[in-house]
Amino acid sequence: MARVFIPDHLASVTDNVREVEVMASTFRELVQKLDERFPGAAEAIMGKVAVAIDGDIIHDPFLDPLEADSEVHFLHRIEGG
Amino acid sequence: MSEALDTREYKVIGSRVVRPDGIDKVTGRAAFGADLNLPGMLLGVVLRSPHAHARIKSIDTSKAQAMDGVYAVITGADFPNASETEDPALSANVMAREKVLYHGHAVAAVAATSMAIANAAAAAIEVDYEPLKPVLSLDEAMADGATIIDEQLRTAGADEASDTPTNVAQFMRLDRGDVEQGFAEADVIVEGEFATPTVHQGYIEPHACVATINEGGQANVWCSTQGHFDVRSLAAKVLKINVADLRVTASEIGGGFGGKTTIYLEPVAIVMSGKARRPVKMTMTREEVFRASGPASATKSRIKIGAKSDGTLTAMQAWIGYEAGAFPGGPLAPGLMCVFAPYNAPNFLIEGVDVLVNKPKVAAYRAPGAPQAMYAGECMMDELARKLKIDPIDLRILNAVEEGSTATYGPKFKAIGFKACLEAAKAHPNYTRQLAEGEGRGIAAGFWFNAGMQSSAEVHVNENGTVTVIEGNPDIGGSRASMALMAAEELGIPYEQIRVIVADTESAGYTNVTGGSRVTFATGMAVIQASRDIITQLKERAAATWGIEEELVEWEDGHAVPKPGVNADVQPLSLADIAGNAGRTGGPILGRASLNARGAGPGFSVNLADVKIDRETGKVDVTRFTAIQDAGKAIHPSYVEGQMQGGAAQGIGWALNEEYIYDADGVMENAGFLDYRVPVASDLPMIDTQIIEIPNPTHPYGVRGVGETPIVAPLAAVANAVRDATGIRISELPLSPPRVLEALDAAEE
Repeated sequence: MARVFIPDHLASVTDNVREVEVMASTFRELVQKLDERFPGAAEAIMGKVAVAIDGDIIHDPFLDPLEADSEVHFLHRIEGG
Repeated sequence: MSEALDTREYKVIGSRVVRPDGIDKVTGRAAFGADLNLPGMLLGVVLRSPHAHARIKSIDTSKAQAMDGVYAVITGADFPNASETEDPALSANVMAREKVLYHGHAVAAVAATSMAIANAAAAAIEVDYEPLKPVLSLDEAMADGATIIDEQLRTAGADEASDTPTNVAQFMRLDRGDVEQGFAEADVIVEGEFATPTVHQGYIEPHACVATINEGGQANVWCSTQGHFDVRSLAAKVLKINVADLRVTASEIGGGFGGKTTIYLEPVAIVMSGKARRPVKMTMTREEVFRASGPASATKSRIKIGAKSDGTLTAMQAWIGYEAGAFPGGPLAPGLMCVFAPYNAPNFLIEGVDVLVNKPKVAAYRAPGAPQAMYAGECMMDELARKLKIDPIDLRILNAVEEGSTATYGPKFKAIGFKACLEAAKAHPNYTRQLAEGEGRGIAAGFWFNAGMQSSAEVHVNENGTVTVIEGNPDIGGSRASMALMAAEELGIPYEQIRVIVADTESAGYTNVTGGSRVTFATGMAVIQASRDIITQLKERAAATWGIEEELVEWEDGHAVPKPGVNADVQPLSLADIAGNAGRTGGPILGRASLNARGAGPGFSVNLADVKIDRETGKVDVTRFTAIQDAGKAIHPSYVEGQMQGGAAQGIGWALNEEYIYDADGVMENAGFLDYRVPVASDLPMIDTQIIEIPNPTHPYGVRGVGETPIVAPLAAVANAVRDATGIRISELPLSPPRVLEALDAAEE
């Protein structure tokens, strides 16, 4: 199962749970399952935050695949100058 | 794209070819933002606020409207209601509505047949203001009873929601472990407070555009920008028009550094063109660039670091406040994510705020937020090394992140080059070179994430076998050459047979901005994929020509050849051979690719600075500067070195001289390059560079972004050198002669 790390700015959505394990094969499925457990999670995540899946930062994640042992971190979006 | 690193020997990647846009740029032929002239074109000017904070009671444009030669006079009333747009802050920044929020905020605009008439008409516009108290610093903005800039603003991310108006737009926190326990375990603790001023990117070319819009609502914009697709989407939001009705062409660009990733003049010119039914050109003066375009945030910060006596870090803590300017959106998140990113910190607490002040809305500036944050963090690492009596590079090596380390912002690093940069610095002759009397030496580390995002590319094969690459990133740092090098490498043809076109929004596939150090990485991947698409087609055409199966053909050194062992009595076909016969084998050959690139490799750097202090005047001269950076793979080493040198020059300016100086009313007093002192060539030594190449595993050639990391470390490297030379830690930038002299005098008393 993917290990999902919840940062401080999303902790209010997950009742201060900072790490969860989710069985999902894509980022979209992961968010759906998070939303089932923590209603409002999808609204707080989709289109609003970036994600790092196994160290790769993705600015606008959606269909990105997850491995069984993936590590997922939510990040503020960074664009740069 | 995630494929195994290509470890082959490169034919053209890594060579120092001549950039195709160079001759036109050095001979003055290149067309920049202000260089387009159209028949019947009008010239536009903006009337700007004389107050830093005021309510607009009324605007009377009747006298301006009545002047001969005036074709359009507009105010906020001519724009869609800001609150009904997708980006109200952007809209209100382009043209003020009920309030002006900084000195120089646009209030009205005029388009006329000459600049003299336009300026006279702007001067004839009567604006009745109710001046309000300006808020000019973080401390003022956050004080109890502070004047509130936006009554509707509430703090996003606050632990406890409040309905009380505030100037604090956002609170953010990153944490891991138990920071108090970490400090309790420390043998040594250092603490410090730091401040950095508002600074400007200092691009040479001011903002400029030409806009036309016809009776059917179809608009064309020509402008100097880092991203014409962004101009299209942002202008469409402000004006509530269909992006399909707006075609944007990027001119050549004379610098941006993040400051040209947003819009100021373009919607204004479109609206005036619509009123006048003529093209409208608008160009900012240098003074307007300073007063009304986005600078980088001023900051205040507090840093605390704890370590064992051997130098092992036990706890790191930071609080950083960023001035956002008049609207929310300072670079709080990247700054906090960068401040301690190079280090393994078992326990940390990083907090910060984004705060409104009555200054121009800040814009991105090269690694936005990181230079200010890492200036403070790296100065404290220097103090820690001094307190522990450990070599500052050894201290950093001891605690450096490496592949598999968990970044303070969350994920684990893949292959990175921080330790390699530190070891290169330790071995560099400039680190052990004898200092002259009165000189000091400082070192500092830099970090930036680098970005991926969306890119497109097309590769067209011409009838003689030459190739045209079409892409959508304005070329700021030599990216046409880099794209051509990557296409040449893939196709196996000479660099000189490739031309690269930066096409407009209707001619190139959607492509994100030239920023985030993403172009060579992400658009480069699109060019590589499009080239591979071409190779697939070339092999198909060769197979058809030879009458054999496609899978029996391979592409080698710019030629289709039968695979080894294939019994075919044929001669290799060059790209030119296949192109010349394309009409008989299926028509024109073109390849394309579009992608949302993931896996941008983080960039690390280490800088060494030597300085000499004039103890009579307090003037600091940088006598030697060495920039070392991991580029992953340098596609064109000269342009990587150029980025490193340019970033160093800008960072040295930030450290030593650059600052917005405001009077008590919030009026910038040094809005020109005579008084806002950026370093010129005679101020600087030759910047020595050393490129480290630790390949980024997610790019076919190992590319990392390189454009932003170079500006991050110089602030602290110079500050640490001044500390070394004087024995005094001056904790506020710039280290200008008056500030250094004051510190020297105070130390003698």
